[in-house]
Amino acid sequence: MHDFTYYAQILISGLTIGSLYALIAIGYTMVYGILRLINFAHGDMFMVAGFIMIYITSWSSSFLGAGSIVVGLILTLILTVILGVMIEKVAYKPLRSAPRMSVMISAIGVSYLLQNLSTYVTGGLAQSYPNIPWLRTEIQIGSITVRRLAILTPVLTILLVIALVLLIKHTKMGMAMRAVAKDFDTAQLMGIRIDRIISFTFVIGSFLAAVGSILYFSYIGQVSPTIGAMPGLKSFVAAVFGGIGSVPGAVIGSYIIGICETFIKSNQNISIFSNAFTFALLIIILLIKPNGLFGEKLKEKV
Amino acid sequence: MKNNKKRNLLCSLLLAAALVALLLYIDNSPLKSSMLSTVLQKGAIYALLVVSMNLLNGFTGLFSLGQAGFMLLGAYTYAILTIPVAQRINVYQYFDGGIVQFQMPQIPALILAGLVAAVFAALIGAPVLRLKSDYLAIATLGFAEILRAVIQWEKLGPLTNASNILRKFTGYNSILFPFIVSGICIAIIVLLINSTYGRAFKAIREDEIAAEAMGINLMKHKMLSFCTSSFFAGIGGALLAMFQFNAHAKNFTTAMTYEILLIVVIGGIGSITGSILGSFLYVACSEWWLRFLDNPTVIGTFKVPLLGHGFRMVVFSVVIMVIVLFYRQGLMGTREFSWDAVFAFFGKLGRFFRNLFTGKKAVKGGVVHE
Amino acid sequence: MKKLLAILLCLVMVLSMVACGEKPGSSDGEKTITIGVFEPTSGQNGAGGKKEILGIQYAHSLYPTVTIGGEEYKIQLTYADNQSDSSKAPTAAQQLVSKGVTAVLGTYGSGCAIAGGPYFEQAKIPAIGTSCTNPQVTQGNDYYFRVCFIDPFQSVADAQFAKKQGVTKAAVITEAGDDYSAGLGAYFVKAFKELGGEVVEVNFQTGETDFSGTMASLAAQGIGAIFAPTSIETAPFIIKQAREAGIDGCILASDTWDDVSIIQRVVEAGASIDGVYFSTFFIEGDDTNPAANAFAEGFKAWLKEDSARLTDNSNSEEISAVTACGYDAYMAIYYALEKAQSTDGATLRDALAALDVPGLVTGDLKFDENGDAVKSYAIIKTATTEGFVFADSVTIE
Repeated sequence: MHDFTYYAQILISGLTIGSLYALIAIGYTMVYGILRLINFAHGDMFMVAGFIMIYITSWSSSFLGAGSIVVGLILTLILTVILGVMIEKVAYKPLRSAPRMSVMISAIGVSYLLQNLSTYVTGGLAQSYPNIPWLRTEIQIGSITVRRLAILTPVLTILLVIALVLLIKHTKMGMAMRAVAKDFDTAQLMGIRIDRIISFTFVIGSFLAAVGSILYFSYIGQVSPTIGAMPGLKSFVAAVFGGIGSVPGAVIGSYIIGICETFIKSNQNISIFSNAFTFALLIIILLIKPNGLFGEKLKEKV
Repeated sequence: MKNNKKRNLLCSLLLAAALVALLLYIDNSPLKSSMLSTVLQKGAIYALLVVSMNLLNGFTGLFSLGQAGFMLLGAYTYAILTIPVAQRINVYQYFDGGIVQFQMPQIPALILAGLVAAVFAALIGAPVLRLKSDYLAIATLGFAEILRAVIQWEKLGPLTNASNILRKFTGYNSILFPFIVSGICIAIIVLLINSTYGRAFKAIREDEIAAEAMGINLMKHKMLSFCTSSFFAGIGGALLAMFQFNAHAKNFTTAMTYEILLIVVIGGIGSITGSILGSFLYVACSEWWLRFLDNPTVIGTFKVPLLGHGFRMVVFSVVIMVIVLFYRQGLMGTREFSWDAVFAFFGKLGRFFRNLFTGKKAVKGGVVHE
Repeated sequence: MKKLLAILLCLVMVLSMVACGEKPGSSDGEKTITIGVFEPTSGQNGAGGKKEILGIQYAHSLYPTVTIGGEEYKIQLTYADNQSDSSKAPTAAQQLVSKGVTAVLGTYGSGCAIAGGPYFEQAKIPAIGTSCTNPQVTQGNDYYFRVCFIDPFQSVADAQFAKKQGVTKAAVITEAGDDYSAGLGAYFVKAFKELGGEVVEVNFQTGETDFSGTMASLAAQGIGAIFAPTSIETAPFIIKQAREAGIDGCILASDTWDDVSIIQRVVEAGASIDGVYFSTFFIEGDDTNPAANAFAEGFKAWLKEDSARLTDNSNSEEISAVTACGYDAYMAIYYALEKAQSTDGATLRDALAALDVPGLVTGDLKFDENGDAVKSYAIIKTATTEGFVFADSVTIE
C-alpha cells in the first residue's frame, strides 16, 4: 500500500487541522459551559479576525513596511477580543433572562450580521491573507518535509491549553468560572460578579479564536465571508464530542475530528462525506454518551 | 357574541373571495409576469415553510434546524417523480436517463414528497428528539448536511442526478396553485394546533417535565409534531422547486434554514398569522422593495452613501437583530389575527377622530378610555 | 406603538403599489430599448460576473443606439444580480422580465442560467449566454443562445492538451453539488479515457479549504496532472496545496480560472504558479484575429478612464476571456436587432437563430440548432507571475 512517509504526512495535516479546530472549540466549550449557549457567531468572529488582519496590514504597510505584520498581529488579537466582548454585551447580555431559544436566535442573528457585513465591506470576494514568511519556512524531519507552521500550530495549541487549564484550576478567576459553570444562581448569591466572569470567558474565547484565525488563514492563504461557518460548526461538534464544558475534552475531540477528516479526504471514494462524517459522529456520540467523552453530567434544572 | 361570530365568518369569506378575485385578475392580465405576482407566489410558498417550522419551534418548543434538509427531500422526491420520461435522457445526461423511468401525476407526487420527508423525519426523530434544545438544533442541522452530501453522491447519480440540476418536471400554470396548496396545508396545521394534540404541544413547550407529569406522552407528541412539520416542509420544498423550475441540492443549505427561522422570528414565534404575514413581508422586501439598496445610486451628482452590493442583507441582519433584542414578540407575538381585534381597533380609531373633531381632549397616546 | 407600526407598514405597501404602477419608458420622446444584464455581482462568481458586465458596458459604449424601421432607438442596460445562486436566480430573472426588457445577456455560471432560462422562455425574451457552458442551458429552451463553447468541447480540448503533455494518469477534482464542475469533470473523464489515459476522480464539498489529505493521496498514486474545473475561490487552494504535496505535473482547469486574482493569491501565499493551464475563449495578442486585437486595445483605453472599472477588473489591466464573451453577447443582440428590425421577442429570436456574423472577438458567430455558438477551436492559456499567456490552441472537428 502506502509507505510510512505518506501516513506521516497525512497525520501531520490532520494534527494541524485538529489544532486549529481545538483553538476554536475552546471558545465554544467555555461559553457553553457558563451560559449554556451555542455561540453561533464564534466561527464568524474567527473569519472577521482574518479580515481585520488583512485590512490592518495593507493599511499599515504603507508606512511601516515589514513591521506591518507585527502591528497586524497585535491589533488583530486586541480587536478580536474587543469584538467578542462587544457581541456578548450587545447581543447576549440583554437576553439573560429570556428563553434559551431567543438567545440562540440572537446568536444566529449575529452570525448572519457578521457574514453579511463582511460581504458588503469586502465585495464578497476572497482576499489573500498577509504572508508571514517565518511560518512558511520548510524544515526537514527525517523523510518528511513540513512547513514550520505545521509544527508550530500543535505546539502552540498545547501550550495555550496548558496555560488555560492552569488558569482555570489555580487562579481566583478560574475558580469563579468553575463556580458559575456549576451553578449560575448560587454563584451569584455567593458574591461572584457574573458579568465580569462572562466577559472574561469571552475574552479568552475570542483571543484563542484570533490566534486560531492567524494560524488557519496562514495555512490556507485566503479569507472569504462565509469561510468561518464550517470550521465553526465542526469545532462545536468537537466540543460536544469531548464533553461540553471540558477544555481537554474539546482539544481531544478536535484532534480526533481533524485526523479522521484528513484521512477521509485522502480516500477518493468517500472524500465527499468528510463533512457528513463529522455530523454523523456527533449524532452517534450524543446517543451513546450524551455528555461527550469527558463531560460532566449536567443536571436538569427544574 | 354570536353576532360577532357571524360577522367574522362573513369577513373571512369576503377576504378570501377578494384574494381569489385578485389572484384570478393577476393571472389573466399582463401583471402575471410582474414582480407583484412573483412575490405573491413566493410569499405563499414561504408561508407554508415558515408555518411548518413554527409548528415545531414555536408551538412545540423543539428547536430544530433541519428544515432545509426536509425541503430538499420534498423537492427532490417531487422532481424525480414528475420529470417526463422523454426528457429524462437530457436531464440525467451523465447517467443515461437515470433509473426512474415513469412519470407520476402532480398531486400524488406532491403528497409523496411530503411523505418521504416525514418518513425520514420519523427515522431521524427517534434518536434525536430525546436530545435537549441546543443539542437537538445542532443534530438536526448536521442531519440536513449529511442528507445533502448523500444526495450529491456520485453513486446515487442514477436516482438523484448527483451534482446536477433537476429540471423539466411538472410545474404549475396558474398562480392560484401555490395559494391553494399552501392554504390547505396551513389549514390542516391550524386544525392540528387547535386539537388536543395542539394543546399537548403547547404544554410541552411551556414545561416538559410538568407536561409529562400530567400524563402527556412526550415522545409520541414530539414525534407527531416533528413528522407533521417535516411533511409540510417537504411539500413546501416541492412547491419551491416548481416555482423555481429547478431543484438543486446545493441550494438547500443551512442559510436557507436560517432564512426561514428568521421569518418565524419576524412574524412571532408561536403565531400562525404572524408567520404568514411575515413571509409575505419578508419576500416582498428582500426580492422587491429593498432591492434598490443593492444598487449604487447617483442622484444628480450626489452619490447616495452606503448603497451598494450586499447592503440590503446588512440592513436585513440589523433589522433582525433589533427585532430579536427589542421586539422579541415579532409582528404578532403569540397572538393570532382576529376580526374582533380589527373591529376594536377601527372602533377606537373612529372614536379618536370623533373626539378630535368634536374638540374633546384626547388623552396622550391617542386613545380615549371611557 | 405596535399600531403605529402597522399603519406605517400599510402605508409602505400602498406606496410601493403606486410606485410599481409607474412604467419606465420614453417620457422624453426618445425611443429606448432596454436590455437586461443577468449577471452575478456578488457571491462565488461575483468577480467573473463583474468582468462580463465590463465587456457588455464597453460594447454598449461603442454602440449605444440602434436604428429600427428608420427610427433611432437608444439602448439602455438594466441589471439584476443573481448572486451566483440558482435559488436567487429566478427572482432576478423575473425582475428583468417585469421591467419589460427586450433581450437578456448573461450569465456567468450555468446553474443560474438554467434556473433563469424558463422565465425568459415563458416571456418570449431571447437570452444570450455569455460564459455558461453547460449543454443544458440551451437544450429544450428555444430562447436561450450562447456565444461561448460548451462543456464537452472544452473538456475534450483539455484532455487533448493533457495527452499532448505526455500525461497518462490524471486526477479529476470536482466540487460536489456544482453542476458546472461535475459536468466538465464527467466529459473530461470520458475524453481522457478515450485517449487511453487513466483517471482518478475526487469530489469535495462546497467551501472546502483543506485539500492536504486529498493531495497527499493523489501524490502517492503518482498522478501526472490535475484537472480541476472549480470556482475562482477554490483555485488557489488547489494550486498551492497540490504543489506543497509535491505534485509537479500540470494543473489544468476550465474557463473560470481566467482571472488574474488567482495568480495574485497563489503568489502572495508563497506558492508557484507555474504549470497551471486552462482552456478559454479569447487571448490578447492573437495575430490571426484582428477583431480581438482591436477589442483589446479599445477596451484597455476604456478601462483606464474610470477607476471603478479597474476595480471591477480585479485591479488589473488583464482582459479576461469572459469580458470578451460579454462583448460578443452584446454584439450578437445588436446585430440581431438590426437584422430583425423589430423588438418583438419571437422575431428577434428567429433573427438570432439565423445570424451569421464573421470576425467577432471570440471568432465567427453562428448558432447551431440548439442555440450554441459553433466553435471549432479553444485556446489554452498558462499562468505566469506576470499574467496569463498563450500556451497552445486545440482544434476539434
